[in-house]
Amino acid sequence: MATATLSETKPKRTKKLKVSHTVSFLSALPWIGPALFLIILVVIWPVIILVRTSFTDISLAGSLLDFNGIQNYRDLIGNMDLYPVLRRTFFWVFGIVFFTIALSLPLAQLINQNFPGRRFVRWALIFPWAASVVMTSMIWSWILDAYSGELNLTLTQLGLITEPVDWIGNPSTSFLFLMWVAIFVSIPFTTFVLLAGLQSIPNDIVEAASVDGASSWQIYRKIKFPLLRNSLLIATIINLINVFNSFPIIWVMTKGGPGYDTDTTITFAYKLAFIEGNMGQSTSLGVLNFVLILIVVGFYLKATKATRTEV
Amino acid sequence: MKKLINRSVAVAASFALAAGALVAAAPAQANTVTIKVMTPNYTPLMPAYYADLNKRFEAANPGIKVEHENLEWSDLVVKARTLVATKSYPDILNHNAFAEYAAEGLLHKASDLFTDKALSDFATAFRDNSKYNGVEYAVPDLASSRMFFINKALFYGAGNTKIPTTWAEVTAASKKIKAKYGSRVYPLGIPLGQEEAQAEFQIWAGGNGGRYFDEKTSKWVINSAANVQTLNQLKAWTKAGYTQPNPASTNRTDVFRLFAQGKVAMLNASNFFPSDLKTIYKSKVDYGVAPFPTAKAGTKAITLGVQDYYMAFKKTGNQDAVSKWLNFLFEPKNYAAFLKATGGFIPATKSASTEVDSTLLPYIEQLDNAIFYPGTLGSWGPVNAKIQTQIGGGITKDAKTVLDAIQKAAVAAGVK
Amino acid sequence: MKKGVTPKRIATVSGAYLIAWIFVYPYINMFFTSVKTRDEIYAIPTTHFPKVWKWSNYVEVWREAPIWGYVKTSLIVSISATLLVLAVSIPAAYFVSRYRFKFRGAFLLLVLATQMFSPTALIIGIFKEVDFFNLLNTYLALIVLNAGFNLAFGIWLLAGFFSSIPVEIEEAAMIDGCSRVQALRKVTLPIALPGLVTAVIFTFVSAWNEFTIALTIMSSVDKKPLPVGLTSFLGAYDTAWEYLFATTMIAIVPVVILFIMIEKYLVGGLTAGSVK
Repeated sequence: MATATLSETKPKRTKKLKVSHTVSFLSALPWIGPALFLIILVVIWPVIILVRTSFTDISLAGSLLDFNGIQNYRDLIGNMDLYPVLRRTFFWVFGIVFFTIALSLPLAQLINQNFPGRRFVRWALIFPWAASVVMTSMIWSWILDAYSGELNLTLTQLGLITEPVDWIGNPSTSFLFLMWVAIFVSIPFTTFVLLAGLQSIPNDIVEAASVDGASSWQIYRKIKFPLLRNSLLIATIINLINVFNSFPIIWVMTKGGPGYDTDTTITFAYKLAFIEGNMGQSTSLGVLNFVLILIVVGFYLKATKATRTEV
Repeated sequence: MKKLINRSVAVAASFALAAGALVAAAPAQANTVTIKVMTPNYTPLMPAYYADLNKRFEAANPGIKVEHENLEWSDLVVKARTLVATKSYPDILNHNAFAEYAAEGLLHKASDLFTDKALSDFATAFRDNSKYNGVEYAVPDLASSRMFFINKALFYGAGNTKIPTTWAEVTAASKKIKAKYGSRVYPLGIPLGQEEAQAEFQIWAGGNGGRYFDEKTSKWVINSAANVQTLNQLKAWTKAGYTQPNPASTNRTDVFRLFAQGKVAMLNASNFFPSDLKTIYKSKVDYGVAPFPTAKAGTKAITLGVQDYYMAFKKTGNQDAVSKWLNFLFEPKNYAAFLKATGGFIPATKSASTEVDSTLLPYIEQLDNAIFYPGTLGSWGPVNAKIQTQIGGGITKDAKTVLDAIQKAAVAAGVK
Repeated sequence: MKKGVTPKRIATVSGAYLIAWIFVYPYINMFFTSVKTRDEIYAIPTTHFPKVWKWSNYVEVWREAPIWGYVKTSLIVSISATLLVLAVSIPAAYFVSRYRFKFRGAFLLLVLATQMFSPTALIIGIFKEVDFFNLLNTYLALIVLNAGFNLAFGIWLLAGFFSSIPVEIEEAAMIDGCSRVQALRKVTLPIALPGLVTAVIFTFVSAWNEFTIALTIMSSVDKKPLPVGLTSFLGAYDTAWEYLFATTMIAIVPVVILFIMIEKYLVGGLTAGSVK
């Protein structure tokens, strides 16, 4: 997102902020060098190992043997379990990002208004953000537990169910609940980004429209929403990446099971490597995962750029 | 800002330096040997047990330092794979599979670590299960066998008179229990969740003559007719509403908890279950145990025997240290404490077996009819994982298709 | 907003409270579970509230597991990683927002790409590398790795921030005799404070919550951070839920308080970072 936001504003900034001058890469090095060094050391190095491993024959116990070309990729493509997982990943990413944004937009609007106790509502929203995802997933699996969970207890007391329903055990409901937990942990960050966007909208514009007799819905749709574009863009991209890479929720709550019925490509890759000992297919799926997210983010950027005319 | 830059350069430089210094420093320590030991957290008592054991071991062996890591099972599985894949082997590993490592020549032979006399103390059946291509590469640390548990109050209260010995009798008993208690009780607990699905399936299939691997022909037989029939039977019980919902997502601990609370009338459980019922679940359920039911009358009842292993990875200069540590662990006093901490397992040594709690005796007797996993195959680890994650799917999907898929993966993994 | 008490307003406000409750609810449930006795935890049917309030769970956990060690590790690692991210991302973000240079685009692309790799997918490579430097089971490795994986967000956020601060302000300071670095330190960074706070929070929380890397490279019991240490309550045959959740409460509460204290900055930081 850095490239996008920065390059988009280039013309504006040269006018407004006078980006001083073009300098050589060498003189940039003292400033960006440490960052570059850290990125290469921490991220690029393991990436190279990942890519290299994906072209290597790996023994059952996991020791690397010989270079074997694209055999791992062939095996992966031939693995029929991959395709339902891919489909589910698609559903997972777009479903969660869509609902997160759709719920966060009104929520940001809500906590931007003045009302008694607003501060506490904002604080409440902070909880899932501050609590680790691992811990939040654990408490949700406890709440959703068929026999010890509060959800079933409440539903039973309300007379809505007569015997415990195993929400997480049944693959047809468990994936929806996994998605709910992912939405639950994504909303706080998203809402705060959008809230920040709302707060940056100059009051005089809104007031002028209000004086002109615009309804609050018209103000929202015609003035605020277009001005939220940048925040929305950032929130969407970060969510796309985070949700795609999301691991702990599924791993803590279902381990992707039963079978591969609640796996996404991330947990599937992990399962292939560390449960089934299939390092070859797992690393090639790791490379494929990166390509997929690159495509998704690329498309998204392109699409938003194409419609970006009036702002 | 200059300060900031300086600082960041300094930080970058310092970890480069620190890394270099450590690389250089590592081989320099000559007289102390450090061994890495990795074990599963059988119970929450294990950390304290090992802390004490290692303290005494290090005091008795000044030249050896122990770096011990005791992990939750699923983390142990993951970490063991990571360590082996990166050739950063632990020195000693306590795990449920050894053959895949033996197949790659990574392990010390048991005879290089123990004297013949010490080895001869391990139960013969367990020793045989620790061989890869006829050579012992691991030693057993403990074992378990299983029996059929019933909740007496629920079972007899529903009008049953005799603990089932065949599948038909299981069906009949389940029917009575369901008729009597409705949805308040699940007649049969069947955990086919990925934690222990391979065991649950094997003990039912075993009573129908089903196995995962045929020793005689040296072939995988996961999709055999007997196994398909077994999976279909489990499916039929589920469909009839005799089991807890979603067997494919239910782990062993879930049904244990239900049994402890009087919600499940019959289930398969190991020898450590009685102690769990008492200490963990504080359960007042009055239970009975019996040999496991078989498919048809007249077939000999079987049990599933499971053993875990201690193994040592070959690393330059570690043979003496790992041998000392393992022998220390199996000293009668220390091993007795080990068995106590792990809670209610069958001892792996003959000497310890003479002093076992009498409640364990029926399980030990059962071992004569025990089926073991084909744990001596190098490919068992990955095949086992496939069974664990996939076999529960047969409850909702077509049983034959599910077993065929696992069979295919097993054949691809080979029979080395 | 109109101030009068209208039905619509009442609906809005009660809606807000309901939403607040939904987001806090799981942690309330966690709290109640953490003070239940073991018997009550396994009881079927379960209860909403503890019958016996077993506060001593909060004392016992410190005996059951080396919680101080977990907390110490989490604090050392999260704080150091955050400082490292600041030290590295401030100069990079500043330079990128003020200058054009060769490979600037490539650098930004690289930053963007690092954000797309999750440590989980790279864990084997990470382990091999840490092993190569002989840094397994060290704080240093955990600090550097956490910093590396959070750097992208820091650079991105701060770059957006610096771009929003008019260069004229700095130039004015420079006319008064400051060097560029002094101008940055004395003028720009104070204005950018909300952005810095936001970057600090993000890095800190992400390091505080990190699980996969820590699980893989740390082995000593007393050197594990909280999320990994927690798993010691998960036995093979039983889980000490009350201890697990009591420890989790201990881990969550300070972070929530920290967040609440800087909530104002947080919104301010995101505002400037997202709007130019």
